[in-house]
Amino acid sequence: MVHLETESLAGTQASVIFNPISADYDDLLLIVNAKSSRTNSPRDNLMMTFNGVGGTSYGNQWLEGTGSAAYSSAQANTSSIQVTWALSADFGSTTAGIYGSTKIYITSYRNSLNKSIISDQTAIRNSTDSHSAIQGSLASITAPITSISLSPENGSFLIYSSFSLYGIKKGSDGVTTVS
Amino acid sequence: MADPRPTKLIVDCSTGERTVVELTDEEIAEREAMAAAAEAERVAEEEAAAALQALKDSAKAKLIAGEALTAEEADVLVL
Repeated sequence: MVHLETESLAGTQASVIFNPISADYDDLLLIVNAKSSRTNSPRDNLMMTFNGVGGTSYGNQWLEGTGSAAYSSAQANTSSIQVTWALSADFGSTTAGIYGSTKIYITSYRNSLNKSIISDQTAIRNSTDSHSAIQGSLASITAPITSISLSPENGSFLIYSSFSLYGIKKGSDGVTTVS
Repeated sequence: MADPRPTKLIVDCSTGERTVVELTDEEIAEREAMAAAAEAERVAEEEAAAALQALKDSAKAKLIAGEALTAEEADVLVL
């Protein structure tokens, strides 16, 4: 696994875009620790698109735990991937310095098939309230992924939100491990 | 003074260069529409949760009092 880029925001940004992305790897791993400026809820969704493609190219299904209940839900034909409850928000009772944590794995990002994405995420509010989810998503995009765009569903990313991108390469002979 | 226009940060993974670009009017409109839809969804979820809780409270009170439940109230107690 090779570290490609890390961005820790020095100020508010509506979106963070990785573009272009190297074509030297097989899979991509994205780690996001972020908070949105949303003030009417303690948590927010992370919206993700590839290659600037919107329309109806995405779908996802997720399992969600609130600490007191569990839910499942799905979306189809959406204009972006909603990474559900991936972000903490600038809500009144959210503990200062707390950011949501998200791990997004993008499989075979250079091939000519639709792209599968798996993620797990937690939007923390305080010591007694956090929502977590595991999610599978599909991007009906057959072109290689050359850019990733991230934005909160509401408002902007706040200062110190961080975004790290890693490239993962598999071995070619079933034995060799490529770092 | 007007609020500054929102910006996006572009990270060039080939050079490491960072570029900050102001959002276009179209991008701002998309953001506002997305936020409005999210708020409508949040309000609808809160209203649905409150209605469900009210039904449960009513059903419980009637059970304790030995009164007849409505079909809606029975539904929230029996799957």
